[in-house]
Amino acid sequence: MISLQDVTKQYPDGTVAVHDLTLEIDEGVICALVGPSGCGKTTTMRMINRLIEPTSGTIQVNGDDVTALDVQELRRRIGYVIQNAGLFPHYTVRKNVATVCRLLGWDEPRIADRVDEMLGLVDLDPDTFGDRYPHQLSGGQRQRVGVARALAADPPVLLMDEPFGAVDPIARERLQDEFLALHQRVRKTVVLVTHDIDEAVKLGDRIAVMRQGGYLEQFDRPAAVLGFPTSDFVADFVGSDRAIKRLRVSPIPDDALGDETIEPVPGVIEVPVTASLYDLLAATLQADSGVARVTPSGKAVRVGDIDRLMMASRP
Amino acid sequence: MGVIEWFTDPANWTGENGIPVRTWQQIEISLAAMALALIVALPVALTLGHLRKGVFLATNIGNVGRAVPTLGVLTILASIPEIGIGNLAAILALALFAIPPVLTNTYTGLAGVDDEVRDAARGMGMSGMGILARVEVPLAVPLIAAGIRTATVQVVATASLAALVGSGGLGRYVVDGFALQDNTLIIAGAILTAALAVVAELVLAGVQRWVTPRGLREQSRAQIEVQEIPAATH
Ligand SMILES: Nc1ncnc2c1ncn2[C@@H]1O[C@H](COP(=O)(O)OP(=O)(O)OP(=O)(O)O)[C@@H](O)[C@H]1O
Ligand SMILES: [Mg+2]
Repeated sequence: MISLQDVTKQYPDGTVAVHDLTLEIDEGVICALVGPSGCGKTTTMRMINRLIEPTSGTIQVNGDDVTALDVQELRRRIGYVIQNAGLFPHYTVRKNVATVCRLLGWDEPRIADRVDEMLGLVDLDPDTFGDRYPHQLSGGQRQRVGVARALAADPPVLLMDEPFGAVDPIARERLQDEFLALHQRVRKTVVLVTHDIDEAVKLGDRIAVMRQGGYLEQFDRPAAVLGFPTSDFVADFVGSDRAIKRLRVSPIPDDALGDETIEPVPGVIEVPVTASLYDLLAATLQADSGVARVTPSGKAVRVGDIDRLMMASRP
Repeated sequence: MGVIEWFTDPANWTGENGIPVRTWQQIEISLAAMALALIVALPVALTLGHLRKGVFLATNIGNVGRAVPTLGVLTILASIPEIGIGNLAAILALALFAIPPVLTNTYTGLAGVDDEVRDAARGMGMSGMGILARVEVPLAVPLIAAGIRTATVQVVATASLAALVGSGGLGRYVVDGFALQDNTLIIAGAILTAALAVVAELVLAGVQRWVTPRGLREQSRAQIEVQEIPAATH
């Protein structure tokens, strides 16, 4: 768990980058810090591993005040991923991934096993990529190595500053999907900085929307931020298409479906009940009959039902 | 006597004034001067470069160094009684001459290390010394080595001036040649000096390649060539 209590950061030149911020991030949760450029996202994140010292307030990681710990020990227990990966150009992929394990003094066989395991985890074949240098990788591959390196020593916490910002949109989608799958397996507490609300909605279990001057505007689940922005700023920031975005993160409210059921006939698209309302809407729009069938219950849903269902899935 | 006869005369290859002894003296003076220069320049440049402080000092010392005439410094040093004529004056003057390129290149090399790479190293929990030793210096090695190479070649070539203040080395032939009005001797001295400088250049180019981390070799060849120019002309 990560907790920030009344944290303020004022830079020596007088800029207040973070203003009296209080935030609690539960264990295993991905928290996306999102907001326009210069609103203090990076500063907030970097205070957690003490790359920046707060002016006032306290920060705890798993119950320990970060200032009470040795700064290098602290950082070795916190994975750190940045925009262009920041890989060491003179190290091979293997050696890059091994960095923190070496700092922690692991023995070589253990490091070797771990490195291969990590490369597998981020979908890079150790035999193909292990001995390459960073300049022999694509941007997306570099980013994967960055994630593998951050996770190698199995830190409970992961900090990521625009980790997918430097790759093209298609590669980004893929990296995001892979990261979500990876997170299902490793369950770290993640702080993810992004200025992209779509990325925040897709990856975040919680979203912290920040505003210029380092103010926290809203901290809630994605569906709540999209469905019920607490200020004009947030409403504006999440965009006029927030209703559509919200569909993506709204589960199908099983108990609010009508009583009508239909048979699985051709022309009716089936949608599993675990899908999102977005998938359901897409299916109703696509079906010739305008009806989609929710499985396994066989309930029928029409385009006109979506609005009601969205109300029913209020967070 | 012609130059070729001079070189083929066995008498010139033995004794106090023979080519091997004079060459070795030149090498000794150069090595001593370089050692002194490195002892002074490297700690300063590594510290400033790591802290990214003193850009002005580090880059402008190069200009100052080039503007100061070595011969003048040599004469002044030799006239100080505590130093006197001989090898010490020569070594000090040459070291002063070698410090600027080493200092400037080392600083430039360290300051040129990608901010993201340094940030990642710090964020993963490396110590300041760890970052310097394992990240900054290896990445700056091509430029540091280039600075040392440039300085060494200049020192080897210039070390012949040392004979003017009474030290040994290949400059003896030139100085003696002037005194005896013996052109052959002057030319022979010049040829030997130039040859030794070329050998130094070739050896150090090899060393530079050898110490450059593998991951950097192919990648930044072009980049290094470009960086060397501002470092030398700033
Ligand atoms: N070292 C510094 N000294 C002074 N001001 C700084 C410093 N670093 C950041 N700032 C200022 O603090 C504010 C917050 O910066 P920060 O980097 O945290 O923003 P950000 O939300 O990460 O922005 P971006 O999306 O552009 O990365 C900005 O106004 C920035 O100019
Ligand atoms: Mg930022």
